[in-house]
Amino acid sequence: MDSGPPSAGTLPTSAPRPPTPNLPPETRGVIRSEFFGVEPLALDLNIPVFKQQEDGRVLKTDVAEQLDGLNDPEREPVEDIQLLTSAVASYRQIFRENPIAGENREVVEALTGNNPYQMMFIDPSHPAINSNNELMDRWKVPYQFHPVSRDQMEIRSAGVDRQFGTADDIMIEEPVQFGNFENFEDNGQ
Amino acid sequence: MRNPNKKIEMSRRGFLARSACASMGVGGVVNTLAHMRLMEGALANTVTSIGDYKAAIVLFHFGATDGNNMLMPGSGHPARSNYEQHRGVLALPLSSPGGTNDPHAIVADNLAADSAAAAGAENFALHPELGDLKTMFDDGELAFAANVGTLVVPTTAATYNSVPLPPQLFSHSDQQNQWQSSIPDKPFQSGWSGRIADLLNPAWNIPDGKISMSVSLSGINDNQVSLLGDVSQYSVTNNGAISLNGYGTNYANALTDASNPTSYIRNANGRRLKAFQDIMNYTHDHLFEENYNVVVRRARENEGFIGNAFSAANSWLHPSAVDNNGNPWGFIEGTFILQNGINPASGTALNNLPSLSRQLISIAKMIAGRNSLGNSRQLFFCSYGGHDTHQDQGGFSNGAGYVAGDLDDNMATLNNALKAFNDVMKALAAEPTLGGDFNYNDFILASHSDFNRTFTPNGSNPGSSGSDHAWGTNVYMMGGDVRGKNVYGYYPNLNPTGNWTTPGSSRGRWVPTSAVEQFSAPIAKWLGIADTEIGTIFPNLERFADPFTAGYDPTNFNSILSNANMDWIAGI
Repeated sequence: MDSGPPSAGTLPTSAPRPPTPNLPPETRGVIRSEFFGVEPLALDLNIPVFKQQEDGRVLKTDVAEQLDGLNDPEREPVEDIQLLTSAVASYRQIFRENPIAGENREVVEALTGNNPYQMMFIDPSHPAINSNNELMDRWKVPYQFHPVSRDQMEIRSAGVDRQFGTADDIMIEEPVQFGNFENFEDNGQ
Repeated sequence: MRNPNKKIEMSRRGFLARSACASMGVGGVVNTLAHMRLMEGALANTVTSIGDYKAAIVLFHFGATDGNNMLMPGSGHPARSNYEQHRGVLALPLSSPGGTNDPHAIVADNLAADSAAAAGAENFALHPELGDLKTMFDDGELAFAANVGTLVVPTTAATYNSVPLPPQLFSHSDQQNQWQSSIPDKPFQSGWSGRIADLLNPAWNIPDGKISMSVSLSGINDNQVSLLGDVSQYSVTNNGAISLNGYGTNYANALTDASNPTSYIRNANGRRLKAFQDIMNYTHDHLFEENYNVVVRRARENEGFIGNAFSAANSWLHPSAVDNNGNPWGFIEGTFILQNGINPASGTALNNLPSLSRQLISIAKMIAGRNSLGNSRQLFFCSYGGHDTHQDQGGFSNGAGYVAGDLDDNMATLNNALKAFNDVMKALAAEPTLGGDFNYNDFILASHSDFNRTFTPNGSNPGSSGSDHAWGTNVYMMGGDVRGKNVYGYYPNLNPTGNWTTPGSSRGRWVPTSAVEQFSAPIAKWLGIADTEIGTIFPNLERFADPFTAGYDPTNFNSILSNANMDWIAGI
């Protein structure tokens, strides 16, 4: 396996645009940062880390192979969050922004080819993806993806009790309090 | 043929007007704004005193308030059945057995008077904790705008996948930024309030004196970022201006009189402050060093102006609220303390007020003490955080009674803060000394929010469930010039899989039917931005329907984008 990052950006070749995969037309993704002149990273899709699929999609094998270990009972649950965070970071490295997603399903769609390169970061048949196209934690509860900004995505598991908002929730980043200026006077900023 | 030697007389006014118009054709927004600003200033002569005072306040609900339960369909509203069917554990029944926690029915006059509106379309209800807002709505002091959000172009569910959308929908910080700039399709450069300040400041405010036209109670914000860089934001805390550290509260350890920056006490702190201020008065060749000193000097000056405004406001005493020392509270603080149900005689009454009330107290004081601040046009920004209710949003009943959810707490805080502020503004207008020429219709407060929350809940547990990130939301506006008791814009039918929501989702994420600029443009016009200048403040506005056109057909979905019905301010 080739686990190194793609030597993107240094290669002059732009990625080919394979045929659209079998995704519902209403869910086909668009990089909205086109307004900002931010283009996806130029990639050479012929290097080994990228594996062309029969349906035209491209599997990013290093990330996909790491995600094979998702929900592995031999690992700590927090490692699952780390793997997913790493996968989203890989998406962000290529497309210069997080998946545009308010729902788990939309994150999965982006990570399984609903993006300009039709690139898959996780195998769509991964056992952690349920019939609603949602990524589930090891307790069969869909992860909560929380888009904080274009470059920060919090990922949370409901934990053993399968209820969000309880003490056993698992996440690796502190939740952000938006506009909470309670400490404004205290820190004198 | 024109004589090339003939001298063409042109007044300065004419030159400025022509150059401004020329810039509309060849220059960008910066160029246009710069020229218009120059012209406004020249035409207005030098401002030497304030008059015709107007203050606009933006209150940002950071984290995204659940607009679906702030303003909901009432009895008989055509969307009520969808509300009850799809809101799940977050649904608020219109009546409960005890009747103590029911939503407040309101009737929108504009829809009731519209023969084209669907039967019952005027019947709404407010969150159970918004009882005072109901009174303000019924009294014509408050209105709502339905389903407002960031848009690049007019968008429907049918065109969602074919038109440009605001970048990073559903992301907190991006959507906060775009609400504040109202130019979602461009890299951020300035906020819409900042651009208004660029244009109006020279024409309305005393030049090079007093405080900034843009005052923030919420730290540095995007909304007040100036495009031209001429109007800097000035941050004020809940206690007033931010003082230099190390000299005691209000310089009590270094000055005998806080309003006199040279009344040094003969002690180490006094000498240290004098030395610091002397150093800050030096001039430097290096631009950075010089500008640093300018900023510090200006901050010290502003402290004095803010202090004077607060002192003036504090002289206005509350008739009944008495503190723990037996002294009357200032009218403004006393009003907020009592409205929040806090014992004014407790030693921590002020500190126990929620941050939002504290911020609005400071704003009210600056309005009351406006004569010390030198601005006839004043912009305020404040915020209210903690609305990102993915969990624990709704209340629920158990054997011991009703357990409030986070939204209940937030709405109660909002209700008390807005009610107290509104009461203070009305009382100020009637106050003989501070009131002066201030009228109740000299302020407008308008809310913003990152976005709405999903209509369907994210769980089935009444206590722990919440809602997630969505798009178009309901906002409110308050003030004497607000055409109150109306609901503007287009309220969704609340079908989470219908033609009001983003395709592919069944969560109920309403595609906005009014853009942020359509909602905000009336504020700019109310402050004095001319019709010909609105497009400079809101460059994308021309893509949308004229917000000042009042007539519309609320039953015709296809007509929605051709008529915004956002003419919510009287007299503009």
